[in-house]
Parts: sequence; structure tokens; C-alpha cells
Amino acid sequence: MTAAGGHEAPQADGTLVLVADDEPNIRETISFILEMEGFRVVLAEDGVSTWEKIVALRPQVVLLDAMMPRLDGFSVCGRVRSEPSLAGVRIVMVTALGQRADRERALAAGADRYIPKPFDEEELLRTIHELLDSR
Amino acid sequence: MVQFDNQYKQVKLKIVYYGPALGGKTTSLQYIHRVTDPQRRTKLYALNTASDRTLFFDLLGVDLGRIRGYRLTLQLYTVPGQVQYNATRRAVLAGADGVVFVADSRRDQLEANRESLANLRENLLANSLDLETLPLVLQYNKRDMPDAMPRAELEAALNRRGLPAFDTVATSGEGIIEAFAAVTEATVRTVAQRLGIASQPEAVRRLIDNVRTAMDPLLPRRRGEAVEAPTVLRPTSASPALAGDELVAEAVRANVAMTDLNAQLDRLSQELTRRVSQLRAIAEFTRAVTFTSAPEEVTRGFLERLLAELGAPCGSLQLIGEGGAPVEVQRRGLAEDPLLRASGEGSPARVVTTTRQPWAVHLPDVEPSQLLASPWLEEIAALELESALMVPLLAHDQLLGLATAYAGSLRPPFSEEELDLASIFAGVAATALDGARSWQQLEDLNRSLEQRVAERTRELAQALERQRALADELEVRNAQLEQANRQLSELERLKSELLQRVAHELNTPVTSIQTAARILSKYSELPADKAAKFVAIIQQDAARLAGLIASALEAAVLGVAGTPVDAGTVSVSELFKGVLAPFRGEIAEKGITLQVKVAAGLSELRADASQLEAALRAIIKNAVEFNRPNGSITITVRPLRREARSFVEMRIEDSGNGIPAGDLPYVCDPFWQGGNLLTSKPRGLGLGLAVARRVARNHGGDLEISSSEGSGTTVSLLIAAQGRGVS
Repeated sequence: MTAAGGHEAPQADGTLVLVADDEPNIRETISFILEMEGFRVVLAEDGVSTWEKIVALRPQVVLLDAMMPRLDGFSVCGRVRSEPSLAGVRIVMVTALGQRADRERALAAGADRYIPKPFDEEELLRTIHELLDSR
Repeated sequence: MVQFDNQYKQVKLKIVYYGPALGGKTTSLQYIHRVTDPQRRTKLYALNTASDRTLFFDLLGVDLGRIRGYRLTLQLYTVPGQVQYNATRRAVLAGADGVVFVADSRRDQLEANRESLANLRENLLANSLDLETLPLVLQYNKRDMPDAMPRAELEAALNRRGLPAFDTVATSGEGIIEAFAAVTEATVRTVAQRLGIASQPEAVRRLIDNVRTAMDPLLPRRRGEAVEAPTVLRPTSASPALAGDELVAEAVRANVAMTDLNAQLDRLSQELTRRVSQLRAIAEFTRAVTFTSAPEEVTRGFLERLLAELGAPCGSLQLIGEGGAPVEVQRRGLAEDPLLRASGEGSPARVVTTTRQPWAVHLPDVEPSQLLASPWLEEIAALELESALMVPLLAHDQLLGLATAYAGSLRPPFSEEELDLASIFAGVAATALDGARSWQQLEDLNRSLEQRVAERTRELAQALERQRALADELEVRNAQLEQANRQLSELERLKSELLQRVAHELNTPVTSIQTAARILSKYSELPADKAAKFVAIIQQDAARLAGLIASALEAAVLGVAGTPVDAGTVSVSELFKGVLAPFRGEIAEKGITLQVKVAAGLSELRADASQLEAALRAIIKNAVEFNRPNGSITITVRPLRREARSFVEMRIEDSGNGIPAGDLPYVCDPFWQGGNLLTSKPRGLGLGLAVARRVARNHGGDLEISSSEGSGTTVSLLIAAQGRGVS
């Protein structure tokens, strides 16, 4: 499969992406798009399972929702950044809170990128590819 | 020769009694000595031979009183008449201002009288004096003798010039004073002429008047009384009979000087005695007033002492206040004080105040023109007073007052030393007065200081009390402000959270819808089941957005106060059946036990059905959503009376998480949702309870919520009872 819309998608090479969001519809739509682009996708629906899956699977990229039951996204991000063995994990924080302050908060917690909801999928993909290229 | 003695302000006139031996010269002098006032004469000094004959001379000083500030003193001398004592006679005559020639009236003495007169002329010439110009008076003595020559014969023989001549009997004193007065007057007149005051006949006349006044009392007195024995002085040189003429003259001069000294000594001794008594008086007064703290004691004592010491019958004390104004006058023996009353230019008070020096006046010495020009002097004269003085009361260069003293003609004018004495008294009084005043001021100051300290202390205490009250109030205000601040920042935080929740609730379905739509358009060859799934996602989240918008609109509509109530009859059972229907599935899923209890007879309500449904739906939604698995929900509908009003209560009790006590005040605020913003995930905008409360109030009731965390929440919806079955 190739990306439509004239966009020349770079090779995803089966890179592992963890999509952490408590909204099932969001998980469903984003994971579909990523898989279509050639990523391998794992899902998590709360903060605690997100942390467990990061530690267990060491995904290259995590799409991390800020609002999640049990453990919020900022806290997960902080934990990852305080664990040196997880230094290679790229984190894109995604929030629907709509506050300018959220961006600072996300970057301060150690996120590599920040994307506010609602976003379009092209912006998401471009962000992920940039992250991978800069590795 | 006139002698001026400036130290004692004295003018001495020398009058010599001349004449033949045993003519009565000494006896004349003895008489004068006896009848004159002991206060105004010296002792009678004599240098006698063993045979009671005058050896050298006799000397008597007579005080004639003061003229132009100088005391006029007569020195009366006699000479030895014996022929062999010519050198002595010549020495005694030296410097004579006047001569009384005492002739012996007896016929057998005529030749001796002539010889003596010639001898007088000769001896005067030897002393550069001229018998023709020297004041000379004749005494025809021994008129009581049987062989006395007739006066006319004596005049023809001895007084061809027609000089004043007096018939005298020295042993009885007859004519002695008259002769003495005449020679004195003539001498004074001559001296005045020589002193250059002859051109002022008035002054000369007053001078002569003084002499007459001095002589007057002597004339009729104690004639014929026993003669006082003269003080005998021992001659200081060998018998002059054996000595040469020059040696005798020297001895006479020495003896004249000695007797003069003796007289001075006498006077000094008197003065010393007087001074000592004055000093004693000053010391007593000083002791009496120095440590007095009452000014009036000082002033009262001062005036009495001053007048007593001066021997003055009357006087005044005027105290001067700040700025020089007179403040108080004390008087003794006077109704008005002429010196203190006079205040013009040149007045004594002005002079003393300016010069700070004592001032004195003796009216008989004052020129008539000056007397007329000075009204106060005329006033003094009118009071029959002659002498007056004024002294300043000075302490530390400050003038505290003026004191005056007056005396009549009975005492001599105030002397320099009396003026000094008065000044010293005034100085002591001023110092004591100053001290007493200072003491009083100190006491006054102390008193007022104490008073002021007490006042200030009281004021300070009041100020402190006010300040304390202010501080208390400030603290209360501060606490209130702090509380308000906390509430404000809490409100700020809540507002921010609310916005985030609303954003989240709206953004989340929008994101799903957008992404699903992109997938559908991007991947056109999706398998049918996949495509259907994304379509379903779109529908689902679109419905969710629609629900949110509806509830927001509902809340917006109901949120406006006074929303009209479209009242109708509502069946209670129908109402709850409709409200509960959407939750049946979830209730069953969670295994929740639901109970609905409606009071008997309460089958219908009077209310706006759609509003009531919205309110109950919001409450029951919370009761289901926040309940625990296998929990319970109990709905009770019953009539309620409160404060004389009838309500219908619809109470929904759940066994859920409950609401933290701190959240209770906010749960009815629009958009409010409990729990942690990031991890709890209630669906919706948080408008439910806000809507329910609005509905209750629209129906004349209210929403009441009670809860304890962990054991459940009870929400009571009260509406005013209007329906049937409510009694």
C-alpha cells in the first residue's frame, strides 16, 4: 500500500508505534492509518498499560494522549524520560485540552513533539517521519 | 586758706582767734565747743602749759553742712598770746581764712590790744595775708569787768575801719556765737568770691543762709553752763621756750598736722562703727532672704530693712515684670511715690533703668530752675521731703525693680555711702528675688510637666488602644481578603479546568470524525466491513456531539432566570417511566437495584413536563454513572411541608462514590465536574445539576444535595405543590 493524496510517504519499515488513547474510536482510526503507512502498531487504553507496554516492547514512537485513566500522559512521559534505558523512545503528546499551556507542559515533561486535537492524519504522519529521520 | 578734701568731699575753712594773752580766746572756743551739736563738731584739742595757758593753739572743728555736695567744715584755732610765742602765732596763722580778734576790754590792756593787733598785721604779712582784705571780726571781751572801757573808746582805738565788733563775755558765752557767726559769714562770703561763685548772688545767698541755719540753734542754748574740759594733747617737741624760732614753727606745723590727723581718725572711727553696723545689717538681711522660696517674703522684708537702715520714714518698692512693665508697688508712709510716678525723659526712673546706677537728690542743693523743670522734685518738696534716692534691683543684669527712700530735713542728705548701702541691699534683694522666682518657676514647671506627662500617657494609651483595634480589624480584613483571594484563585483554577473539559469533550469526537472521514476518502478501496466501521464511528461521535450541543442548548435556555414554566398535569408514573428508560440497560449491566416509592395519592403533579424530565434525567444519570457495581438507587416521591409551604419532594438516593465535602458547593455550577481532570473520565459538559437546580427554582422550589464520600449521594428536587393529591 502507498500513501494517497500525492504524499510520498517514506518507508516505515515496520517501525513499532504505540498508540495510547482511552477513546476507542481514536485508537481505531489512527492505528488504521499507521498500519496503512507500513507501521507496526500496538494499542494501550490507559496510562498504566501504556507504561508497561513501553517498558516491554520499547516502541520507537509513542503517540501519547494526555488524558487517560489511572495514569495521565504527562506522568507517563516523565517516567520514560527518567529511565535511561528508554532514551531511544520518541514521544508525541496528543491532547484535546486546547490550552496553549499544554504544549509547554508536554515539552517540559520530555515529549519530543506536541500535537493538539483535532489534527489531520497528514500532520501526524509528517511529525512521526521527522522524528524518525532525526534519529 | 581754703582746703578742699576730695576724698571726704570736704571744704575746710580756717578761722584763727587772735589777741593779747589771757584775753579770753580759749574760753570763747570752749564755749563754742560746748554749745555746738556733738554730731557736728570734733573734740576740742588743746596744747596747754602747766599754768593752764595756751601753749600753741586750740583747735575746734565745726560742721556747717553740705554745700554743692561738699561738707563745709570750720577749723577754729587760737594762738598763744604771750609775746615770746610769736613764731607759734605766725605758724598758726598760716593759711587762715578768717580772724577773730579778741580784745581785752580792760583799760590797762589797751596797749596790749594795740600791740597784738600790730603783731597780727605783721604775722599775716609774713604769711602773705593782708589784714585789710582778710575777713576780720572783733570781740570786745570781758565786758563784765568793772574797769572795761566804753565801747566807743575801744572802737576809736582798735576799729577805725568799722569792722563788725561784738561785746562779749567769754566766761558766760555772751556775744560769742554772734561773733562766730559773723566771722563765719564773712569768711564764707570771701571764699565764695575767691571760688568764683560771687557772680551768682543767689548761690552766695543760699550759702550764707546755710551758715545762718547752722548757727541759729546755737544762739540761745545753755548759756552759762560749765565749760567742758578740753582734751589735752602732749606736746611733741621740747619746750619751745628753749628752742629757736624755726624749731618752734616746725613743731607747731607738726602738731597742727597731728591734731588734724586726730580729727580724721576720730571721724574714721565713727564711720567704721557705722560701716560695721551696716555690714551686720546686710549680712542679716542676706541670711534672712537668700534661701527664701517666696518672692513676697523677700520684697516685704527688703523695703522695711532698707528704710530702717537709711533712717528714712518713707519709700517704695516697684517690681518690674517681663518686658519692663511695672507689676507691683509697695509703699511705706506714702500714698503716691513721686519718683516712681514720673516716667518722662530724664525722670529718675528712666535714668536708673537706663544707667543701672543709683540716683539721689538733695532738694536744697538743686538749682531753682531745675526744680521748676522737674515736676517730681516739686512733688517731693510739697511732701516736705528734702532727700530722695532710687536704687535698681539688679540680678544677672536684669532689672527686677526699683526702690526709693525719702527723708525730710531732720536728717542730713543721703550720703554716698548710704547710696552704696542701699545698692547693696537692693542687690541682695534682687538676687534673692530672682532665686525665689526661679524656684517657683521650677515648681510650676514641675507641676505642669507632671500634668502633661499624665495627659500624654493617657493620650498614648488611647492611641495604642485605637491602634490595637485597627490592627485587629486589619487582621480580620486581611483574613477575609486572603479567603477571597483563595476563593478567587480556586475559581480561576476551576474555570480553567472547565474550559479544558469542555475542549476535551468537544475535540475528542471531532478528532474521531475527522480521521474516520479522511480514511474513507483516502482509502477508497476499503473492504466493506472496514468502511462500515468507520462510518459507524462517524455516526457515533456525531451523535455524541449532537447530545452535547443539545444539553448545552437546554442548559442555556433553562439557565435564563424566569424561564416560563409550561405547567400541565404530569403523571408521576409516566414521568419516571420516561426518565428511566434510557438508563435501563446500564442499570441492568451494573447490577444496580432500583426502587421507586411514590406516596399514596400523589399520582399527578402540576409542572412543566419537559423541564422536569430534563432535571430528573440529569440527576439519575449521575446516580447511575457514579454508582458502584451492584449498588442501589432509591427514588422517593412525597409531599413535604417546610416553613408553612407545601412542596413535592423527588428524592434520588444512590450508593455511589459520593461527593467530597469541598466540592459540594460547586456541584450545581455549570460545567462543573468532579475528580482529577486528566485521569477521571466523566462524559458530558457538567451541566446536569445546574439544569436541575434551575428547573426546581422555576417551579418555586430548590435542589438540595447531601453526600458523604464513599457511601453515596442524596439529591432532593423540590417543587411547589400544586398538583392533585397534595393536601
